[in-house]
Amino acid sequence: MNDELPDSLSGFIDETTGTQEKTLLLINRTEPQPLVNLLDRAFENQSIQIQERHIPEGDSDVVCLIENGQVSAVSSFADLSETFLLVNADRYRTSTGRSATGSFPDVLTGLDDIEFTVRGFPESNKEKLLLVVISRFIEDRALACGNGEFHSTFQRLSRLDDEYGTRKMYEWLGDSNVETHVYGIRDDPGVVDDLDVIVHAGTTHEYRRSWVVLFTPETDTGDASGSDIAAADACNPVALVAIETGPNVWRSMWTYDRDRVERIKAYVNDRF
Amino acid sequence: MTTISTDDATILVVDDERDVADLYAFRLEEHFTVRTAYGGQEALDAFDSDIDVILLDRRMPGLTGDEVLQRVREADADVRVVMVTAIDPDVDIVDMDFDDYLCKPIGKETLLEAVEHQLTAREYGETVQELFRATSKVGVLEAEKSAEELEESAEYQELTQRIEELRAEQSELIEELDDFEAAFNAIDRAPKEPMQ
Repeated sequence: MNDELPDSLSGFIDETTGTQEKTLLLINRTEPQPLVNLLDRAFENQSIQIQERHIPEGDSDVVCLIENGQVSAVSSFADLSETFLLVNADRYRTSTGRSATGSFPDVLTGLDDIEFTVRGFPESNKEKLLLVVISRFIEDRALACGNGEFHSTFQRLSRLDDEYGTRKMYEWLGDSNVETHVYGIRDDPGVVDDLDVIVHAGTTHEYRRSWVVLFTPETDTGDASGSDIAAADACNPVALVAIETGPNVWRSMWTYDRDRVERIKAYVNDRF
Repeated sequence: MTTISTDDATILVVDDERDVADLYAFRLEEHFTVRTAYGGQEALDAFDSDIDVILLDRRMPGLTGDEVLQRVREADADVRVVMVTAIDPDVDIVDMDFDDYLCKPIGKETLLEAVEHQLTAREYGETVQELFRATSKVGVLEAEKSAEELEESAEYQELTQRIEELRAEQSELIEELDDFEAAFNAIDRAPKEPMQ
């Protein structure tokens, strides 16, 4: 294991450059062209390729994630549309995103270890939404597993209370057995006092400009018994690292690599 | 229930995300005449007396959906406005003068149902229209808020009380309205979320 910590959080993003090629392949589409345009536009500035193909006798409106020539994940185009293409970040700020249907499409969460540089609204409607979805996915994973450590940097702690969905999620995390740490400038001290979370306040550049969401489970099986497949599945490490490099522009990546997640956690413990 | 021909209706679709506006337009074009606008100002420019229903995105750069709604109401135009938004509604919607409120993502059927409902609703008098406006607000709030939150909300309590009054005023129409209201209530305005 590489124990070296980079000089800044950007170092973790640098480590991902040029590792692999990923393609989203849309199969047997029956939905209209504007939905494809939405998908194209979401990834137009990224290294992800979007392709379409017709396969005789295959299912219709299916999206496959292809990595190095192999299918690594499959989602329905409907799920991808409902959770990503046809919503915007408000959906996840004002509600918790824990919806009944296909909350986090595998073809999106599978875009790990790739660098994304994304713009927020109004420059782009979808680019930054990707990071919002992944953040909610990591929070959801921590809750579903029910043990371990969760760390989240907020720039300003008042953002925790900006919207109903965010606050609710951190109430749940605070009430769970997950050790929950939040980081940010203490601009509104009242906000975090009611939450059962560990608060770290600071003013350094990385406090002000970083967006880190990470989870490491304590065990591999989750709080529930071993038969709870969903909890066991959730008990895997994951980390998102994003740095604001310009006004509302974020350089980012997320990873499931156990060592890398541990090193990001060590970095946050050490520097924040 | 009265059947009303809606074939000649004109719908204005407003969303700053072009592809989203185009998608709604694609789905509505089979049934209606559709115009699209990719921003608030563009929506006001495209707006005229031919428009029967506006599907209006709430969050847009420049002129927002809320501002467009206000301008359209100030113009005193006879048009139905359906807010279409990813912002989960809060009690602030109680004072907004829209006819219906749909939360993204919006399914194909919901889109058509909501528009058709508005075209039917306009055939009724003002009391009934107010009843439907109030019903749509109660509908989205009930989908989004917990029972305790609703109980504590004075706005919500006033709204439900107002609905009772309006229904009482319309007692002679009530049977016909019951069917129509049931259909209106069945519109999937907001994705239901299971609370922990």
